[in-house]
Parts: sequence; structure tokens; C-alpha cells
Amino acid sequence: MKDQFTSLISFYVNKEVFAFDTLKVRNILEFGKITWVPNVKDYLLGVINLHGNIIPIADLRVMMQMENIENTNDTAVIVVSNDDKAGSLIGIVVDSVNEVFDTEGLEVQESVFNGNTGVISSFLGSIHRNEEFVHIIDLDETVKEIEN
Amino acid sequence: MIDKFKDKFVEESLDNINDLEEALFLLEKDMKNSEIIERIFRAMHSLKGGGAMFGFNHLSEFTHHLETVFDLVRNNKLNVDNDIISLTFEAIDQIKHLLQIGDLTEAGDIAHQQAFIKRIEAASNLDGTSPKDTQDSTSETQVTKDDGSKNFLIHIKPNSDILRNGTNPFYLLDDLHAMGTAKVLAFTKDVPDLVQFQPISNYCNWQVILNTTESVNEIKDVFIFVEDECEIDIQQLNVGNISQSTALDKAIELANTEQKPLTKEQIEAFDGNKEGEEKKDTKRRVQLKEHKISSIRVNSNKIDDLVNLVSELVTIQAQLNLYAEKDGNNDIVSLAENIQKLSRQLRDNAFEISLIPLQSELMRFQRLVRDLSKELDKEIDFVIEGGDIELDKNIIEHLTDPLLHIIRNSVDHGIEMPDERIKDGKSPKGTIIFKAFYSGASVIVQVIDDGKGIDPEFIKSKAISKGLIAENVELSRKEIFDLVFLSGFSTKDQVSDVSGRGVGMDVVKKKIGEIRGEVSLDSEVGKGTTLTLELPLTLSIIDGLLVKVTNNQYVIPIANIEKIHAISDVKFGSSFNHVVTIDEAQYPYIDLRETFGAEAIQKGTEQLILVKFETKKVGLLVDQVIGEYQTVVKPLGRFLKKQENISGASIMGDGTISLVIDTNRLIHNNAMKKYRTKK
Repeated sequence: MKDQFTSLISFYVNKEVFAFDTLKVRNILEFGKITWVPNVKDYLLGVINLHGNIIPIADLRVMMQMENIENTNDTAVIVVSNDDKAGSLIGIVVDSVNEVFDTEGLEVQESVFNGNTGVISSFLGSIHRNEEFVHIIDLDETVKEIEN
Repeated sequence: MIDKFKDKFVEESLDNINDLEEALFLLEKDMKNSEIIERIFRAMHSLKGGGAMFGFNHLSEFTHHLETVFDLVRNNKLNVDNDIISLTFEAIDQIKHLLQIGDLTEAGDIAHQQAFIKRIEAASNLDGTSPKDTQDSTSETQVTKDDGSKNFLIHIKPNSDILRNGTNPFYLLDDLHAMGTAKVLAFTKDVPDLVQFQPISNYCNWQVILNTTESVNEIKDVFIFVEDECEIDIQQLNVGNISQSTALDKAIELANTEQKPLTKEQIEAFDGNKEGEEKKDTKRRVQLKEHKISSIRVNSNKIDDLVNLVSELVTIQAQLNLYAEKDGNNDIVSLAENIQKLSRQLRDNAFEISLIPLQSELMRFQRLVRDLSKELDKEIDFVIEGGDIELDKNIIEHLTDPLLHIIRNSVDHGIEMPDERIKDGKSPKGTIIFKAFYSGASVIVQVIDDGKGIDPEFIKSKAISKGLIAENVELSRKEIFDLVFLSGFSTKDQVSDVSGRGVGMDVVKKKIGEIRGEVSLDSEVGKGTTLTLELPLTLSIIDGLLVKVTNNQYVIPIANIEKIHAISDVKFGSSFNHVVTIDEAQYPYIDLRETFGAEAIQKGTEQLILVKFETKKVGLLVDQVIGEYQTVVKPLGRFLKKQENISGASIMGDGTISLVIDTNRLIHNNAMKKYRTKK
């Protein structure tokens, strides 16, 4: 296990449940106006102004190669930071945010995927909860992918 | 706690060393100048004293020997020559080294230092000075250093209105007491009758006989806040520790009752040993009075924070203005205007604070030229013009490495060997001019050498052989020289054979580009080479023109803009080669909607902005010009760093974001695309 997490924030992308380590989440925003930036990767939607800081926005749905993307009232931006340095904040667009829960006493299993998650390829494991599997995304790897 | 002071000492010593190097350069040109020698001596002296105080014992010892040499020079017992100057330069490097690592621990290092000291001692023995002389002056200084305790006679005469400023003279006395053993005489004979007595006036003065291990500067620091309200007279007494002397106590008692100040001579009489140098003391007094706090030292992070906060303030203030206008309430409008005025002043102030003169870095360049030319047996004059030009500290930080690189190139490859120069009919001594000056909103820095220059044809054929350009491309002279900055243009060994340039020039270009600067090169075979850097004054605020391209707003730096044309003035040439005709001249243009890959290009109102690009003008086609804005540029961050055409983003008054276009990079990228596709 690479990361020690005690609580997770779960969300939906394409009707599947995924999660981030709560400690790395800085903010959850409504999906609003994004200033588009030209000549960048297709999943980078642009930048937003968060309290005077310029924050890039990546669409997890595009990263996972989801089709028929629709923005609804539930569509949310989860602002994460994998380290505390300035400029490491990035907003990640998901279909909807689900809940925050403690992982204590829950069994983390190895994630099983058949390779249909696009550029998101690294997971910290999966938890079976409320008759669903919650897949924990490896943020460090995700950020690296966006950066390169 | 002591570490904190230690850091401060290192910081201050680096300043001292800087000063020392500067003075040494001056001395090299004028070896007899006693003022400069005095300056060098003083710098060494503070290094020595501070070193001993903060536990840099090796540093102190080392500097002491160096100081001895200059003490001899100062007293006209030794003449300055090139050897002494070279030795001192070397010694300065050793001092820097000692400052960084503290006391030496490795035996090899210590031996090395000892050998060095021997060399310095040898230098002070040269030139007909008898060894005995040197010995004397050495031991003399040694005594004052080892026997830490010194005696001072301090006379404090506060002005009558000192109390008005809330100064309590007793605190000064307390401070002196804290430094060692102090005996205080109070003179109260000027205190008037109760009738005339003004409670807010001071009528007293004091004399203090202080036995302390602190330096005279420490004593002066006690009075640093009151030096304008006090007459302070500090005299060092040439006596041993007399604080225990009963004779002195008696004299003090007598002086107290008689209300007559003690003199230096009176006290020194209690101790037989008298070799006072009255002259020196008066000099010290003069110095003390001249001393004023004209600058303070602030951690640079704090300044960065300040500038950031002010930038935030400017942004918020723009929002406030917008709100006030919408609201229409006159009170709020006038408040917003006032805040705008203030924040503008604050902004100008904050940016001025973060400016530092180029001078601070020049010493390194001078040193580089000197050392390198000695090493290569070349004779080079390094001339500096405009060293007082001020630039944003962050820009200067980014500038040093590229400039070192450029200057190294000039010395190494630009300037020829003396015999070669004579053959070409030039003076054997080469010249490198470092020139800085303001030009509009930018600062131009040039490095000009009168060396052998570069042949443009060579560059071109080389670029073709490297596959950087197609063979049939017609390039202007300027474009040819620009090829030097392409990555992959050159490797050192191949180019330096013929022209000697292009070593890592792409890195220089990249570094300068990071601070929104531009580099260009011009050269004439046999005459020399000029490298020009064009730099912005500050990184974080620009005057920009706000334009609209499809759904986005972009900012184009006004400094780059030549002219704005409505579309009706403009006749488009064939849209294949992207050329436009304005006022009977043709310009290439870039359709921003196309370049930025906007999805739906709707032809409607269009405006063309002519921007300067090097010596040419290039048009940028936009949907609409909105207006002029002063904006705070923020970086796009590491996730979008691959984006070359956009140099940053700017938050507008209403909270929306505009992207700042780097026109130079945009046009350059476009041009490069063209060359490559032609091939």
C-alpha cells in the first residue's frame, strides 16, 4: 500500500464509484465557467479563478474515455493537491460527488480492471461498500500523467 | 539564537567581500589610491572582527594575515603590485569558502590554508620591508584581538528635547552596563531651579567608563536610535582593565562632586601604558556622526509576499470598482476611487522595493573576465556602462547564469589572442563592454566584444547540415543569427573551431524567455559580436490590450503593439501565404482563432493588431479589441507549462480570467513551423 489513508471521498464517473484520499482534497466546487486554454491536451478544459489563484481543470470523464459526457447540476469539480506546494492545485471534474467515509475496519482489495479507464491506470485498491466497489484513484500517478 | 546571528554575519560578510572585491578592482587601476586601500583595510577588519565573534576562527586568523599586508600598504611600507592583487583575489575566494563551511576540519584543508598564509606572509615580507616590522605589527594586532577587554570613555550629551521622543537616556546606560563593567558619572549642574524646570526637557549628561569585550561598533549600536538627539563621544582608552582600580573610583567621586568631566588623559594616567593615537579617535567620532540608517535588510521572501499581496489587492480593487459602478451609490464610488488611488501608489511602491541595481551582480562578471583572461593569456578590458540600472530582483536572479555564459563565450571564443589581434591590426588588448540602459518599458542589456565575430554564411550552412532549416529558405541576416539560439544547433567542439559561439545558446534563450525577455545576436566578421537582451522591468504587472478571440479574452502586452487596424483598412492578400496589405506595405499575419484552434470560427467583425517582432511587424487577427488594461500576470502553473504561446493568466475585475499572449513566442513558433514545412 503506497498511501496511508483513513478517510475517502467518493464520487461517480460513468456510473462507477471512485474515490480520492480526503486529505488531498482542498475544495469541492460546482462545475461553472471555465476559461478555455488553447493548444493543450483534450482532457484539460482550461483554468478557473479560485480565490485569486489560477487553477487548471482536468476532466476525469475525458481522461477515462467516457462517451456522451453531459454536464448536469450534479457535475462537480474536486480541487486536489498532491503536495502542498503552490501551483500544485488542480481541479478534477467528476459526474457527481457521493460521500466522505472512514476506511477504518474496511478491507482494501486489489483493484480489478480490464483496461477501460483511459489514462487513469493506477489504483490504490478497491473497497466493497454499500453493494458497490469503490476504486481508489492513485492521485500521484494521475497528477504525473497530467503534468507530462 | 546564535545561529540566527551567525546567518546574519555571513550575509553581511558577503556584502563586505563584495565591497572588498569592488575596491580591489579599483585598486588594480589605481594602485596608489590611499582611500581605496583604507576601504580594503576596513572591509578586512570587519571580517576579522566578526569572524572571531561568531566562531569563524580560521576565517578570522586568515583575514588577519591578509590585513597585515594591507596594514603595511596603508602605512606606505609596502607597494601594491599585481602579485598582491592576484593574491588578494585568491584570498577572497578562500574567505568565501571559509564563510560557507565555517572552521576547517579536514587536515588537508588546514594544511592548504597554512600554506596560503605562508604565501601571504611572504608577500608582506617582500619589497624591502624588514621581517621585524611585519612581526611587530602582527603581534600588535594580535594583542588587541586576544586581550578581548577594552576600555572606553563615553560621553553622552543628549539634547534638551530628547525626552520628547520618548527616549529614556537611562536605558542607554542600562545597555552599556549590560556590555561589561561600566562606571557612570552623572553631570547635573545644568538642572535649573524648580521654578524654571521644564519636566519635558533634559538637563543632564553622562560619562561612562566602560570595560568591555565588545567592539566599538557594538557601542555605537547602542546609540543608533538617538544619534540625532545626542552628542556621543566614544574614545578608546589605552589602558589595561581599570574597572577595579580604586584610584579611578576616587577620581570619579571627585569628578561627580566637582561636576567636571574626566578626560581621556586623566584616566589613562591611572595606567602607565600610554600610546594613544588621538587622530584615530577623532576620526572615529566623525564616522559615528555620519552614520545614518539609510537602508534596512529584509528577507527577500517577505518582499515576494508583499508584492504578491499587493497584486491581490490590485485585483480585488478592480472588482470593487466594478461593483461601485454598478451600484451607483456615490459614497461607495468615491471610496472605491480613493482605494484605487492608494492601491496604485502602494503597488508602485512595492514594485520599487523589489528592484535592485544590476551592480550587485556585476562583480561576478568582472571577476570572471579577469580570471578567465589571465588563464587564457588574453588581455581584456571589461567596461561597464549603466550598472546602476535597476531591475526586479527575480529578473536579476534569472539573469546571472545566462549572462555568465554569454560573457564566458565572449572571453573564451570572441576575443582573440594578443598576437592574432596585432596581426589583424587591432590593439592587443580586447574590450568587452557590458552595457545596460532603459528603452521604453524594457531594459536592454548588451554584451559587446571586439573579437573576431561570426560569419552568417557559416551559421546558415551549419543549420542546413543539421536539418534545422531547408536549403532553399531565404533568411534575413537577423534570422540567420537567430538560428544560433535553436536547440540542437551546435555542439561545442565543432562551432568553436570556426566561430566559437552557439554553445548552449538555446539554454540562454530559454532562460531569458522564462522572464519574458528576448535575446538577439549580431556580429560582423573581424569586428566583433554584440549580444542583446531585452528584459521587462518587472515580471508581475503589465500594461496590456484586452482582445476577444472567439469566446475567450486575451491580453497582448502593450509594449509589443505597434498599431491597431480596423478590418476595413486592411486588404487581405491571398489567404494562402497569410500576408496582409496595410498602407501599401505588406505584413505577414497570424489568425489567432486558427492558431488557438478555436472550434467555430465565425467571420464577423475583425481587427488586426500589428505587433513588433524583432525588426519586423506581424499582424494578429482577433475578433474584437476591448480596451487597455493594467493586469497582474499569474503563471499558468506546472500543469499547463507546455503551453508556449500563453505566458500567463490574469484575473479581471469581474473575476473572469484572461490569458496573456507571449507574442514573441507565438510568432516565433509560427515562423518555425513555416520553415519546417517548407522543407
